[in-house]
Amino acid sequence: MEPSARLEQLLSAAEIGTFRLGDGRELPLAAPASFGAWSELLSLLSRDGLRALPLGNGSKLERRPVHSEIDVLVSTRNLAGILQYEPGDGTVTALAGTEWHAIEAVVSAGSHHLTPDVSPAGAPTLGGVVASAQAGIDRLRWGPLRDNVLGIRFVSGDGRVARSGGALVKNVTGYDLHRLHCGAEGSLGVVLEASLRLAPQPSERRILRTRIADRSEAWQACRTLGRLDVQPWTLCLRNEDSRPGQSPWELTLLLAGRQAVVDWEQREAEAAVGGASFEQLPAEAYDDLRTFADNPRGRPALGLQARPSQLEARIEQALQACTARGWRLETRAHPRIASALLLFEPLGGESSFEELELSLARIEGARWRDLPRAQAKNGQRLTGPAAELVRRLRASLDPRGVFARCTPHG
Amino acid sequence: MADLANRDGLVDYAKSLDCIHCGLCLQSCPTYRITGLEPSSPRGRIHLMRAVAEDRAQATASFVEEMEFCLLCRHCESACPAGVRFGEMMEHTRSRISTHRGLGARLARWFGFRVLLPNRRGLKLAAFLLRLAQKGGVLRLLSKLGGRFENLRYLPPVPTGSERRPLPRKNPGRAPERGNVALLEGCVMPELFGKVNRDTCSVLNVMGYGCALPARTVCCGSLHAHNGDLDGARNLARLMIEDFEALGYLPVVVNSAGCGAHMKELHHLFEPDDPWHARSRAFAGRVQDLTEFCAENLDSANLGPVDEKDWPAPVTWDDPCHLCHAQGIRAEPRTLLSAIPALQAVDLPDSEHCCGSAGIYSLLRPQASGEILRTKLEALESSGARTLVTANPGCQLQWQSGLLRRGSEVRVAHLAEILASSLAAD
Amino acid sequence: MKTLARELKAILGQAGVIDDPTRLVPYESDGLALYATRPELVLLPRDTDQAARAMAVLARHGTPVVARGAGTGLAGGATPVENGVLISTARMRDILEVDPEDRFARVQAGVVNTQLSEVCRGHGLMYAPDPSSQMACTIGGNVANNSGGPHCFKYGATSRHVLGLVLVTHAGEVIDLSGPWVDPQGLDLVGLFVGSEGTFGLATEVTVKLVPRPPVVEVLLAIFTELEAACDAVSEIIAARLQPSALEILDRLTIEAVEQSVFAAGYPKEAEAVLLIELEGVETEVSGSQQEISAILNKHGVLSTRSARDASERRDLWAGRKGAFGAMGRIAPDLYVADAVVPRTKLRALVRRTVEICRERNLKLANVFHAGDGNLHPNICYDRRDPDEVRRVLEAGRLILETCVEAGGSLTGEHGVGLEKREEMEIAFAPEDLETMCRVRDAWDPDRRMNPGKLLPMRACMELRTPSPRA
Repeated sequence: MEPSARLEQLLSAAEIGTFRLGDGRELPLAAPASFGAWSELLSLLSRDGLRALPLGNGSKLERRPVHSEIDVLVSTRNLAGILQYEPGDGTVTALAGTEWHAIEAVVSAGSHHLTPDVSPAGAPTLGGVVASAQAGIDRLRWGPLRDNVLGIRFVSGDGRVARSGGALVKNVTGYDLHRLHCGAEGSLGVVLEASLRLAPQPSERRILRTRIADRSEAWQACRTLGRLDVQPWTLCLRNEDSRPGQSPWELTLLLAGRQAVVDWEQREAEAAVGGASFEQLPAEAYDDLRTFADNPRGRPALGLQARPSQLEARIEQALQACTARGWRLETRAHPRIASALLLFEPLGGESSFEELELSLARIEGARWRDLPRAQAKNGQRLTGPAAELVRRLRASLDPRGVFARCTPHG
Repeated sequence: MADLANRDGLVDYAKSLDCIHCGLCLQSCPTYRITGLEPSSPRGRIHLMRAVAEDRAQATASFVEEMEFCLLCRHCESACPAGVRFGEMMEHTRSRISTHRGLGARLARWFGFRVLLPNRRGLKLAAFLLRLAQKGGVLRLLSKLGGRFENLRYLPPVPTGSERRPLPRKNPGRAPERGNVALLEGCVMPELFGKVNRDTCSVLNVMGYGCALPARTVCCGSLHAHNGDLDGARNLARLMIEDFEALGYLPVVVNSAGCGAHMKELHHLFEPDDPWHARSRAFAGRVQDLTEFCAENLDSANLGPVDEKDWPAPVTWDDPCHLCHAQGIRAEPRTLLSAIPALQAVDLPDSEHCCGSAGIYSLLRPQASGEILRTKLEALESSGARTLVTANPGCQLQWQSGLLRRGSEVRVAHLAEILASSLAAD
Repeated sequence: MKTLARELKAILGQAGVIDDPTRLVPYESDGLALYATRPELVLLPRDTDQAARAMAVLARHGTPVVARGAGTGLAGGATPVENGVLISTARMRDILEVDPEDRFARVQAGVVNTQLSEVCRGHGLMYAPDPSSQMACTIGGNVANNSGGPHCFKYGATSRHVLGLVLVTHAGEVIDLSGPWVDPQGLDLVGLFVGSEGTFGLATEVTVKLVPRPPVVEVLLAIFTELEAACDAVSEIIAARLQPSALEILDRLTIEAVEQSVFAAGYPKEAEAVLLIELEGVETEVSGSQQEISAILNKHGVLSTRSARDASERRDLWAGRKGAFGAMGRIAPDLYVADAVVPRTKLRALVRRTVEICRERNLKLANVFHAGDGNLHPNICYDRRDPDEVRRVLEAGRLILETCVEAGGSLTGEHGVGLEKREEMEIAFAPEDLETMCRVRDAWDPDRRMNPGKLLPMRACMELRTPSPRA
């Protein structure tokens, strides 16, 4: 029987639909509205040997290639709602299909800040943010997502609904399976519900920006700021065009907290980086800053990670590779976190992005996100006992291999 | 060796119950630090004692070995939140073990504890022979045998006969006089550190105190107690108490931390209903370490700069275990050193860790003792100090021998020597 | 066992294998002396390679393995198992690398928690998690238990500070995930491993994050005439979104024990409860929070509040707090330490309930806890030689846990499940949850030889009859 027909037997009309992937494939979509229906759906897929790709609203799939055979998409979009928000305890629990910014609206009314502070583009869901371990603009201050997920409920490949952790800020009861699901991109199960730790909402938020023409001076300024007692929420560097003389390095600092402290931090930062060259941006600039990790024009993009002390050099190497192969590079870096988003645009040269990828893959001490071909060729994926362990882990949660992998390392 | 049964009260069971097994003592223990073995830690040893007392384990040769491997530095007591009296428990168990030793060991211990230590002439003769052996190269030859003998080579030289002359029985204080104190000369001190005793006496005299010495006391008995000869220790205690009482009930000043610690706890040797218990408790109440006495009574205005030739700067203080852990004296010596004008002092990392001397331990277990000292020597090097100050003869010997072996130039001083030098500058 | 010992001695040397029956005795318990099982052997590898080779031998013999750091755990996680061997990390204590620029350190698993912080001090950095046993406990043990400590209120527990691991699997294979990387590549195996209590494998090297030492630290001591008022003050500090670095409550009996100990720090003996508050950050931050906190304390009828004069008084106050558990030895020979977590809005009600539960059973209760995290530590003092008292203690312990879980709390906040709370896992989790955890455990250790019988209830795993994923 066709996958869509099987779904119709199981689910109501409101729970079934279709979805078009970035590569043009249109696939049946199932969006069960209850934990029980999820359990039955996965049991069915598992029995029939069908392959499924979990998604929320699909905000991360529109442009990104999906490297697997898929029979059906399973979405949490019908599983929405905040189950518990305890302002006095600073935790929130919601169903996975709840839109991230809907949760944010509720907790910010209760003077909490929802971390990670991610871009609203594509209306991401709680489940999607968790599964992709999406980083927000506030990562420098509040850490990666996996540090703030306190517990989840998820459905395994064979239809078992299970829970780990809880809605408590401190808890070591049982295994931290929720950590395993953070960033697993739905390859081990579908996150149905998650509890998060909330941060206090700052009473004051200030965005400071300065433009530095010289690359090494810009990176030096970041190092100097990193050594201060200042605790920014964001310290990021952006260079729009890698070609010489085309664009300056834009250093942005987001300070937040108690007003007196923000004032003090601003003075410290200004004193450390050559006087009052910082420009204070209006409050609306915050929305713009949140989209720092977006890729508006859908260019080929790669995530780069290295040790903090090596990030600048790795970006410099990437830049040289681009120059050599006739590509333009836009850099969006978080120097203190040691990660960067690199966006590429062809300058009409000869070489393809695949060729560029290959030369990037040769850069030592760099780790790339979304670099499938080069990674496969360079054998950066896990090997030996680690690979065997991952295989067994996948088999333990998804014995029939229902869940497709969105990316090769997901 | 046959297993020991618990029938003769091998373990002070009641005290062992205070231990709650938290393990906070582990890193304080020198034998745990070198071996990483639980049975060689305070908690492990108490666990063993308790297991033996509860008949869940036999007191085997390994049990005895773990008990004797302990240095009795009592650092664990400083770390123990439950206030376990480890030193007393260990002395108790050791005293019961000692009746089960082999003949050779028993003879050697009998000779050492009962004949040599309490006997001034015997000690003098031993020092004389040792000096002769050092001069004549006999020790160098012996050290070639290796093993336990190897260390003999690094024994600091025994001072000349004139250095070893005893202190006069009465030493009047300088005017204005502030009264008298009784002084313990000690067993090994006069033979190996006569100068320290003379400096101690002169410091007290300059401060205005006359020093009286008891007639018959040689050894206070602390080595006996630590090594399981509680009967020997009791005999010496009774003699010492009578002897000091004969001087009038004066404050008793002690310049050896190991002796002082023992003397302050002398009443632990006697059961509460023993008349000697009260008497020894009164005696113990009068005992003060030299550092304690000076910190309270020395007028720092009289202190001058220390002779740089003898004691090059910077100096550093190493806490003798039986001063800091057994007597809780930490601030006093530092206060005294900092009161000396222009004296550059640096901190010694982990100064409260044992140096591995532990009375006769360094002779009985040279290898363990040397390994414990090694980290101390490294800490000393990292501190950059050129003079190490301490206040216990065993530690002084241990440091001297370790530095000699390393070919290091760092000097080792007793605090009394530093104070004497500082007061002499005036 | 003789052949096994011989094979292992060939790898670890004579000193690396303990088989003397007397010397095995002290290894029969960890920090929870209620349970005791004598191991057949104790192994002391010096590095990953030795550990891996030893594990391979043990795998061939099918011998169960329990790992032990300093044995300070309070849940029996390092209690040996029948016919099993113990692997002690006590000889793996080298600090392999400290990188002050990129702020991480790589250490062997047996490095002691405070030792690591000491080494970093010179660089103005520290390793943040500070379990009360930090002067003895090892980083490897901290990884196994995802250990907490007072300052985890601000900095988070161990898992937030572990950047990488080198693991030895059940079969003696080495998995190098030492990193450090900003994010895991693929699945977060390191994050999953932290807190797995030795059931997944043996961590031999740990890469940890170092954080800058705060420029200003202030410790406030707030004295209350009522324990419940102190709880309310904490709840309100949390509700006000204030972020001190630590919030600890000590009750009267705890204060008495601490003040009699070598860690006496000047806690007022007449107080029913003290609230220890640490603030850190830049000057303006600290003074701002201090004002707001003082207002809250006053509202809840604080008797008096004072700040520690200097670094040495701060150190003493913390030493007193951290020595509190051991100091209970002065009250009774044994101590039952519960470790429940409750929502921070419910502190008052649940603390009161624990007091009642113990009073009803005529048990001596001392409360000392990480109030800021809602992590209660009701300490019941008892004597294990009194069987009836032991029964009442265990009954009270279970009741306290049930009460906390019912109120939305959890069984353990930082000590781990171990042997002690294994069966209580069924209160906290549904059978499917436990079954899923069993499957994950089987993925790491298909032969079920790693710390068997710990963390998960026996029944949950026994009933799991699916074919082994390896098959």
